Amino acid sequence: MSEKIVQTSKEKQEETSQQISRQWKLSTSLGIMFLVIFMAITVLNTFAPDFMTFKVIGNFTVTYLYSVLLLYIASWSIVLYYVIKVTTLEGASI
Amino acid sequence: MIEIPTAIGMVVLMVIITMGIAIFARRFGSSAAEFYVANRGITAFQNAISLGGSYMSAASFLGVAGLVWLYGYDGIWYASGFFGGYVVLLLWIAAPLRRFARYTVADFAFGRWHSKSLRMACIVFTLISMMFYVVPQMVGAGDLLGVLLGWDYTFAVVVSGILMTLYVVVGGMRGTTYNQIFLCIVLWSAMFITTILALMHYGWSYNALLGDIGARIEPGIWLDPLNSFALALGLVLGTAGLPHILIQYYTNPSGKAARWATVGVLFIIGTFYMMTPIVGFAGRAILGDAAGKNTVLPLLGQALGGEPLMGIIVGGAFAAIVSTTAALLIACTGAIAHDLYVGLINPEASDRKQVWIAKVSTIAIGLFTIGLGLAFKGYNVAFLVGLAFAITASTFFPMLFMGIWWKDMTDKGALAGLILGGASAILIITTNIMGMHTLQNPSIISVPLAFLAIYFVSKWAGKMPDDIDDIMHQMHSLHSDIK
Repeated sequence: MSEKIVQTSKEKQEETSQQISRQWKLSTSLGIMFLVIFMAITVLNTFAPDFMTFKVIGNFTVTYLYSVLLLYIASWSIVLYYVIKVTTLEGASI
Repeated sequence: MIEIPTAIGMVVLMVIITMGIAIFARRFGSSAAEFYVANRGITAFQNAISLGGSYMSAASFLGVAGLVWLYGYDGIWYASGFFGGYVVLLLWIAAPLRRFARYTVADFAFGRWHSKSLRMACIVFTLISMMFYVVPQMVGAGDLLGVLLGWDYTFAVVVSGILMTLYVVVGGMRGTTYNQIFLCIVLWSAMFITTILALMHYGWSYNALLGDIGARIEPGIWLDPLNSFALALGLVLGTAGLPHILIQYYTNPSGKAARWATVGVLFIIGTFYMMTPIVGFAGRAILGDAAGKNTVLPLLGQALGGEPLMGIIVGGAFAAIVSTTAALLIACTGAIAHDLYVGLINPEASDRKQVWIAKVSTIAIGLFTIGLGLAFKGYNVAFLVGLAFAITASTFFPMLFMGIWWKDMTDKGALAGLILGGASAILIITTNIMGMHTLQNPSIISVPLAFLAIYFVSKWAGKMPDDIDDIMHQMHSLHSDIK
């Protein structure tokens, strides 16, 4: 493992700050989106129990479909979008 | 008690295969970098499956289905929390952590702030959190193997402890990683086969199965809204701070590979956790009260697939315990041999001596773990696991998150966050156990406290490292994927 870190120039520092800012905006916007989707399950179960226990198809309630299907599909979509976007973003900064 | 020759045979087969894998991994060398991070040569695909294997502990493999069997819908919330942790890890931590190219969490803290006292605090919290995680695995092994195989508690704990120690001593991180890959495939397949058989039992109608369990599909049987929220937050942020998961990110060859590994593990554990409610509900519908919280999966396997499936599940459960415990052992070994000995006591130690110390530490921790497993017989394991997640959510997650993204964070700020977050988490859990309040998971209080401590103490005291610009560049630049 290399412990030595190469000294960066002033320009490079500026470039790093911009890079961090771009990465932060992307990660945080998607992170908040995920946490809202995730925590909404508890909030809706508490404040809209009738809606969440409504049976959409057969015995499948809204809360069940949300927790076992939608949450996973939404999370996978978010992480795939993130990885593709951040790879492009980092590639563009080279 | 279930004593089935097939189950015992599967456990023996698992031991032979996994020991063979550990011995095979020896051919890749014996340097310190090989022992701790497999020379950063694990591909994203391998790392994804390995992380899945490491994460599918007995709690995930047996526990989630058991909670669904017992509490219905509320049990699913555990699976959601376990899953969500990796999303947080991917978005904010995975790539910068890997690009910083260290060996352990304490190593990260020292490299980021150059503070020996901070490194020491990280060592302490790594050992505390990992011990709270490893003890329930050992207690679980003793209880579970007693029920499933008829083994004496002491014998089961000793056998599990010796095996996990051997895996690490013989195979190091690479052997442990390859074993986790194998075990992940076994565990996922066992869950998949049980799910298919459960659906076949109901004529491929999951709707009919849900019809049989009645009101258990609705929330609120177990958790009130506050505890539901606190549990979710604790599990999500706790996962993103678990040392034995974080160190596996250092085995990736690059930050980009670390990201793809996380996407991979999210698909593996996501599909796994989608199946657990089906199995848990099927256990309730088919077995009724005859199943147990930790035995619903093997008993359902026996009911649906006979001895062969029962054998695979019992072998898988044994594998899950040993696999997760081996990963925990590497995290503890890293804290003692790398952070304490090489980092603070003898920085000039040769590579050969580092590996020797690591192996001796592994054996010592393994023996200590066996002792703890025997001492904590009959203890409330859920309390200990909860404490492990609460501590990592309140200590390492805030430190990593802020350390990666906030340049102005100081060493004193990091130390204050670790101590206040960790102490408040332990205090809240302890007072809950004493019956002084009903908040089961402290994260909704201890995590904000840790963040506030980091922010205000950093504004008030301590200093940023002189090379902070280089450090930030290394964590966030594509050019920084160094070995």
